[in-house]
Amino acid sequence: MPCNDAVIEVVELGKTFLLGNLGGGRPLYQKLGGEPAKVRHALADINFKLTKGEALGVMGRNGSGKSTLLKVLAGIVDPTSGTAILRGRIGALLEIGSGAHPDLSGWENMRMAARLLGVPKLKRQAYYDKVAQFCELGSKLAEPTRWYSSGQFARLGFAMAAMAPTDILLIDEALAAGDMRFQLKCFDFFYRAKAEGRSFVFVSHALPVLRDLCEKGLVLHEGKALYTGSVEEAINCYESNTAGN
Amino acid sequence: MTRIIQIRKPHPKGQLKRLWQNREAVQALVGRQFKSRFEKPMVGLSWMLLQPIILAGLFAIFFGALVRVPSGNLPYPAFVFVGIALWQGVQRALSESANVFESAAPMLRQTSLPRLAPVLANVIGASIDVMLALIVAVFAGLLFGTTIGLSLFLAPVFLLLALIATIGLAAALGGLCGAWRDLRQTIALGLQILMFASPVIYPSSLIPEQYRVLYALNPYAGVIEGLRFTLLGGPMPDPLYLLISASSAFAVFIIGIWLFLSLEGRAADAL
Repeated sequence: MPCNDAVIEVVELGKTFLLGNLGGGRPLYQKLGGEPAKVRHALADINFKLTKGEALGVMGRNGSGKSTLLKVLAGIVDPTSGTAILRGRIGALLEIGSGAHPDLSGWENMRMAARLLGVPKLKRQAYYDKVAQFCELGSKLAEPTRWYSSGQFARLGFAMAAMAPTDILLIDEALAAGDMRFQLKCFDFFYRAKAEGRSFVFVSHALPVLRDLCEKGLVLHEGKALYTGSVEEAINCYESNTAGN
Repeated sequence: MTRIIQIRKPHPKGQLKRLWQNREAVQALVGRQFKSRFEKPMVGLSWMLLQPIILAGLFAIFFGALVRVPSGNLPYPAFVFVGIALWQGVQRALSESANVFESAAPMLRQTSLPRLAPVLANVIGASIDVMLALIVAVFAGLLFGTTIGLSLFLAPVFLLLALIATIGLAAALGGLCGAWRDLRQTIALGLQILMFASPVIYPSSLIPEQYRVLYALNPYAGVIEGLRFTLLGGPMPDPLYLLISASSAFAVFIIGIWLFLSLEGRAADAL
């Protein structure tokens, strides 16, 4: 098989949404001769490859399809054309707090996450320890997460997603919340995880961060790839594209 | 561990395999649901028993004592209790599942868990209530003078049939109402119709003989008659009708899962 070291291979990936109430309008009326459903192309013809230990930075203006791309890769939304092959266990941190339940305590959320993310039974205790150590929430972990500040909530969510044994981690604007100290800790984690062979896809507007962390870059504009290649070139492309508009 | 993401076609075998691999997640979902139902309690767990007891009592007064609905050789309160015990669970599982793409959205937005997992968790969660309520029904029956015999050991067969039919229906409703949300308006009405089409408050012997085959197509017809037979020592249901109900339960299961898998992509676009 060619290119076996690629952990992510995306070929001509596309996603269209049916407009009109998300269901594509009213199918019964359409069958009876009403207007056909309108579609919006959220992603079209995306191609890239990512190898083990590499990170891809996805940039683009609001609404350019970045989050949709991550959702498709995470298997949350189904694509309407093309293929993405992901080799390894996939983790995702797509919104702040990564689905932590407000009524459950930090510890209970961790136990829940371990089962939802498929952490093997024998590694659960180690997982809880690592999450607790990473998020540094201490005794706060015994409280329901609805009492957390937004930064604390973000820290718990990040730690739960990052400490799970995954090979590919998809992260959408993960560092937006969290204080300086925690951000540095996250950087440290990214470098070490990459050295261990884990791969990342970051969506971010923080270009210096992407420049530091990523080898590859992808610039999206209205659902299409403006540039795919090295992160330096991608940042230049994104900056000139933004300035041009 | 390779995952291929592309246009999804309904692929029941692969999906059921993934569900099995994620069985612990389903278990965790059942636990979470259970916990959130009894969070900040006033009465707590007793609700699970109080509700069917109160409802059965109400039906016993109106339909048993006042309208005098026939219940064969069984005392009406015990007769209706079995029906109510099952029906409350079915109702809860189905109405929750119709809403699944909304209620489970926070989780479906974060993990690539099979989208059937929360549907399954709803049904399993409701079946715990049903089982507890049925145990009470057996004791209530003994109190009113019913007998239990060896047929008691057949009860799990009927519970399993109920589970199969309910999973199918829950999946169908979850997929349909996720894809076209206006369909949710019809759930309450549909559940009422289904209740009157099942022998919950009346015996199926009231149905004219020429319609009995049609009536038996409702899987719950066979299930409820079967539960009364096994748990209360009621009359033995006609094997032909039982067979029809059982086959119908499996058909509902297969069609429901297929519907869910064909519609889940459309429903997930709203996540």
